[in-house]
Amino acid sequence: MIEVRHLAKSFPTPSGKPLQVLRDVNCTINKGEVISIIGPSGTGKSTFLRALNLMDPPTSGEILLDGRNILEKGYPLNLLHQRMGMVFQSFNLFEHLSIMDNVTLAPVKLLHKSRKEAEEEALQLLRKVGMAEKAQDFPASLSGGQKQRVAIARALAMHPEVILFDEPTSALDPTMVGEVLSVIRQLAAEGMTMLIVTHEMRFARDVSTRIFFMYEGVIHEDGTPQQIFEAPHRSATKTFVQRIHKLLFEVDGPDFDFFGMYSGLGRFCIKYNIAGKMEAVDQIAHKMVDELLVDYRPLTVRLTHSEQSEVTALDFMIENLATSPFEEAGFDRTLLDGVRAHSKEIIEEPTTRGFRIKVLV
Amino acid sequence: MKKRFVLFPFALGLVMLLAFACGGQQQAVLFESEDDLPGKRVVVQTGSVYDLEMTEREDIQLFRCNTATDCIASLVSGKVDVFKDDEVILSPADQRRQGIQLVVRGKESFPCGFAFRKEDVALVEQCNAFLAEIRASGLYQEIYDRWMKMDSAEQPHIPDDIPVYHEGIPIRVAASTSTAPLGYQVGVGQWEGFEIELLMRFAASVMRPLEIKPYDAAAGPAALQTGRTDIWFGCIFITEERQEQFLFSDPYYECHSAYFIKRENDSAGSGWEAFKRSFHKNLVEDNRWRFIVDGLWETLVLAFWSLVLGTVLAGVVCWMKLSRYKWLRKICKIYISLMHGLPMLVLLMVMFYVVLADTSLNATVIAIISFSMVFSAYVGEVFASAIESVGKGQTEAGIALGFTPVQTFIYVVLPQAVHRILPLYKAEAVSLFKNTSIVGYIAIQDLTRAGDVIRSRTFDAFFPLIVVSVIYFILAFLLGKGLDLLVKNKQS
Repeated sequence: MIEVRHLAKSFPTPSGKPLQVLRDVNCTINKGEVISIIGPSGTGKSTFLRALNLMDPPTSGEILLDGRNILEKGYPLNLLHQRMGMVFQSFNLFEHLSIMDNVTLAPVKLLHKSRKEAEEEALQLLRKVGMAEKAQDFPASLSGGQKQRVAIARALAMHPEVILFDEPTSALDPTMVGEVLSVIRQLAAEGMTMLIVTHEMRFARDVSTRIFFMYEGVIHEDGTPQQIFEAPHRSATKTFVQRIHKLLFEVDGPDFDFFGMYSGLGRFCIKYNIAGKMEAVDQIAHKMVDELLVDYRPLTVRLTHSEQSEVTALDFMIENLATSPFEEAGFDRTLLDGVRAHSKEIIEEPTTRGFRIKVLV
Repeated sequence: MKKRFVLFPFALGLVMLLAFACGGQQQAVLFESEDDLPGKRVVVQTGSVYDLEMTEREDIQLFRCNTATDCIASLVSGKVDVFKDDEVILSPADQRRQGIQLVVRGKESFPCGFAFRKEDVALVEQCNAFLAEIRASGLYQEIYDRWMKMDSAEQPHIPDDIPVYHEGIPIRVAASTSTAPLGYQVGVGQWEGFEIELLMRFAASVMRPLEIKPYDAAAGPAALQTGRTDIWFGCIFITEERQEQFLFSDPYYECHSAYFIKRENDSAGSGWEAFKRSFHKNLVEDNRWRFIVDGLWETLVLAFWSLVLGTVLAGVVCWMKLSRYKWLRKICKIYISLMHGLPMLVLLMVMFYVVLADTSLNATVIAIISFSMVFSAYVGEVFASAIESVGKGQTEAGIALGFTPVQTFIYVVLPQAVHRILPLYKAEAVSLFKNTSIVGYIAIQDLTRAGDVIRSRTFDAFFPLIVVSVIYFILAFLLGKGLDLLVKNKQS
């Protein structure tokens, strides 16, 4: 139904060097698919969606809708928009119109429906999103979640073939996210073709038939929810879906800022809600860097934490080393007890570049 | 709301009656010769010969007014003791009517002539020939006697056997006089008086139409210099200074100066009686209400077209301000700051005497252009900020539904913007309407000027002003209400 080829988009910046947000996006969207677009902030998810319906026209590339390039000069944009509905992060209801009029405005003016017919249909749609009893109210009196449900009904009233959702729950209180997602879930069940930019991972996993993981201006990985969330092929995808955070230090000699490193590790623990592990991380790091591995420089220290699995690990990596430093002759392995006391497990393993000691906290 | 509407004019009327009840009980001033001047409060017309003369004296308190009418009004109301001006400024009959009196005739006298542009030599020569001819034939004496000896209660009139020409290039004359017997209006565009008769006969002698426009004494020279008018008259003294700038005809009158004081009040009458008398004198007598009606019409025409054109221009200003092209925004910014920085009156005069001086546009059109320019600068900004305040999101939502940008503007942005614009638009419209009261400066007889014309005939400082204020107030009120209704109807 929609085919995207080599889509690129850059924004002019005051410095003169344009900011390349979309580099080369390629994909095919079929009828009935529910595609969630996920990825870190600033990787072009919303830009892609807005380029797709030419709200922010792309700089280059092709978008074929039923075989015809909508970027051609003279393509009727208003008709394109009637086929491609959009739901915005900030709802964008028409403030001067009642809920009913918000939904009926476009069908009456653009599809030339009679007022009565449009209102009957609007009422059905409002019922579907649970907003029928507010039909005569004005947007200002609604909560965010209610506004977004009305916005969905408004988009549906034009009978679009596909609806683009641009972070539909990002501007909502956590308590209201559920009501909006339920409505979208229902649409998905009815077979509506949808593209959803979202940060709600569980929702994306449950509702989608396909996931686009966007990273640095391209679709980095495209697959089923199972593939993306359980067995991602690419490391950036994995880092993202497991929500892995990293902190890296390179201890290269006596001039290294040790105080900076220790306080950095502490801040990391506080930032990712593992303050309980702060003491352990501190103890392990001190023991390893200052005592056990004091002879090994340069030494790379890496703290990682996965929000999804809640696994926290401290890695100590020594380059060009084939065997564990603890296996060397004369090393008293009881010295490791101080580390072991604070950790769940210590894994000693060689890597392609040297040797790694992984301490699970 | 309705109650208040009735209340305001009522309150104004009450103030008016009260002022009549307690007005005018000052002591008579002792003034028997020029030696009595020291210590007196003296009023003169701005820019007149007496202004220069009195400015040099340090033993008096000097006041200046723009017109003879205002000078007389301040004399009658007791704000000043003595009024120095030409002796012909008021006929003895008018003096009696106004309750003032010529007490002392000044020693000095000045020759009066018609002022022309320097390059208009031919016209001056024609005029001089005309003056010489009527002096020789005795016609001059007849005219002089008719007007200068005007002492009876019955008003003289210009004989209606003077031929009037409608074809040909008109002689445009600027009248810096509004009092009998020199030149004054008895009806809208109907002039009488000594100088008027001379001019009419002169125009007839050269077989050209005559067009008379009232200008303040201060505005007369500008009108002549910029070619807005061909002759400036109104007891203009031929002085050396003026001769440097203008050509003068041969003098047709020797004017003495005179000192006027207020006569003692013989009958004040009750407040109600005085009110009735004022009403009769200012509105009923000689059908003076016609000045008000005509002036009102002029004011309405000015305000209406300025509002219409101003709103259209405001749309343009708004479009430029929101344009994506930097140079358009820049031009718009300069235009707006220019309009904000110039006083309305100054802009009007600049447009009339400088920018559009060489065009054939008449004063009313120029006034409409000037008012709409200022209006558009203020209202254009209001439009732009109202449109911006609706927010990009709703425009995007409209477009995402399949509306074109223009449809989105009409169905989504405009209805909300209008709502936000209305209070400010209303204020600007009312202020524009009131601002039209300055057009008298470029010789348009609007409502304000109509009040002045009546005052120059009746010398009643009070009544015409109050009538004019009440009319302005009611109209401003109705204008505001009307705009409210217009928008309410549109929305429902």
